[in-house]
Amino acid sequence: MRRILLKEAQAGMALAADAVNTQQMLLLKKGVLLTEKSLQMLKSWGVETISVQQSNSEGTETSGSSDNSQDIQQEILSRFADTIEDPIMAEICRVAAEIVYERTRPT
Amino acid sequence: MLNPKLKSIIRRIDDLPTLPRTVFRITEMINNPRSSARDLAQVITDDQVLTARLLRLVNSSFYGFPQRITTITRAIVIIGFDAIRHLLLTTSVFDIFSDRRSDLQNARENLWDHSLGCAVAAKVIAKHIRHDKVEELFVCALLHDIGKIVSMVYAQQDHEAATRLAAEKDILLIDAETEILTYTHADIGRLLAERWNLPSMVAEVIFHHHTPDQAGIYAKEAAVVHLADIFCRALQLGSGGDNRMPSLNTSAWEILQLQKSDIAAMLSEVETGFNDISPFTDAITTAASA
Repeated sequence: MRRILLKEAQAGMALAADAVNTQQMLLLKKGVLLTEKSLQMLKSWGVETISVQQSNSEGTETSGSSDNSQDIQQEILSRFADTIEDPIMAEICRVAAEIVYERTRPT
Repeated sequence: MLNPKLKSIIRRIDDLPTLPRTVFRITEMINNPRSSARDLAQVITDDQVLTARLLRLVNSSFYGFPQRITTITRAIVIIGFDAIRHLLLTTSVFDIFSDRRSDLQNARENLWDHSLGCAVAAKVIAKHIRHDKVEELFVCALLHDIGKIVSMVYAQQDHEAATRLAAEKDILLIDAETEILTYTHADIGRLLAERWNLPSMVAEVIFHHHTPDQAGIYAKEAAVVHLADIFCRALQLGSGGDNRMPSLNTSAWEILQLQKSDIAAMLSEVETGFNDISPFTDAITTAASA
C-alpha cells in the first residue's frame, strides 16, 4: 500500500484505506475501485492524498455488484461538495448518502 | 397594487390555473375559525365529483379502514377536519401536476415527487421543533415550487431558457431566472397563493423558501420549508429541475434551534414518511382517473 497524490491516481486503482475529508467524514471505503467519477468527487472535497493498493489484482474487494448504489452515493457527495465548509451540510450529506445507499443496495 | 414585475408575469402567462370552486370555498373556511365539520361537509357534498373522489380516497388501502365509509360526514368524523381539508388541497394540487401534455410528464412527475417529499420533510421538521402549525407547513412545502409548474406549462420558452442556464452554469433555477427573466418561480408561486386566497403565511413562505431570513414574521416557517427542500434534495426525492444543492441559510438553521445530532433521526423519518405516502399518490391517481 502506498500513499499518492490524488492527481496521480487513476481509475482502476483500489483504495488501501478509507478516504476521508478534512472533517474526517468518510467519502470512499477501503477496497473500492476508483472511477473517473469518484476521483472527481474526491477532488471537489479537497482530498489531496489517498492510499492505494500496490497491485490491482490480488486482495482487492471489488464492489462491482453495488456499482449503481455507489454511483448514486457519489453523486450525492459531488453535489454537496461546495458546501463542505458547513458542518451541518456535511452531516446532512453523510446521513443522506447512507440512507440512499441502503435504499438502492441490491438485497 | 401590482409592481411592474408581476404585471409582466400576468402578461406572459395567459391563464393561471384555478382551484376548483369548492376548494376555493373550503380555503375561505380555513380562514374562518368558526367553521365547523358540518359546514365543511355541506360544502363538499355540494360538489358531486369531489365527493366521489374523496370517498374513493378514504376507502383506499392507503387508509386501510376495515369498514366502508359512505358519507362525507362520516369521513370527516373518522379522519378529522384538518386531514380532510388537507386531502382536498393535495388532490387539487396534484391535478395541476398531473399529465395533460405527455412531453412534460416526466418533469411534472419529478416535480410532484419533489414537492411531496418536501411536504413530508416539512412535517417532520415541524414536529421536531414542536411547531403548532404542522398541517399548514405541509401545505406550504407542497406548494413551494408551484410556480415552476406554471412556467413549465404557461411560459415554456422562459422556463426552458432558465433551466438551460441553470444546467450550464450549475446554479439554482431561481438564480438563473433572476439573471435572465423579469420574474422568478417564487414570484409566481406567491401570486398564485394570493389568487387562491390561501393564508398569507403560505404566500410568504412560498416566496421566501430560498431567502428565509427575509421572511419577516414568517421567518421560522420559511426556515422549515427551506430546510425541508434541502433534505428532500439530499435524499433525491424527485427533482426540482436544477441539480445544485442550495447552501443552508445560517439564520434559518439558528431560528429553528435544531442540533446537528437531530439530523440523522429527521432524515430517517423523512425517508420512511415518503415511502409510506407513495401509495397515497397511487390512490389519488386511481381516484382521479376512475
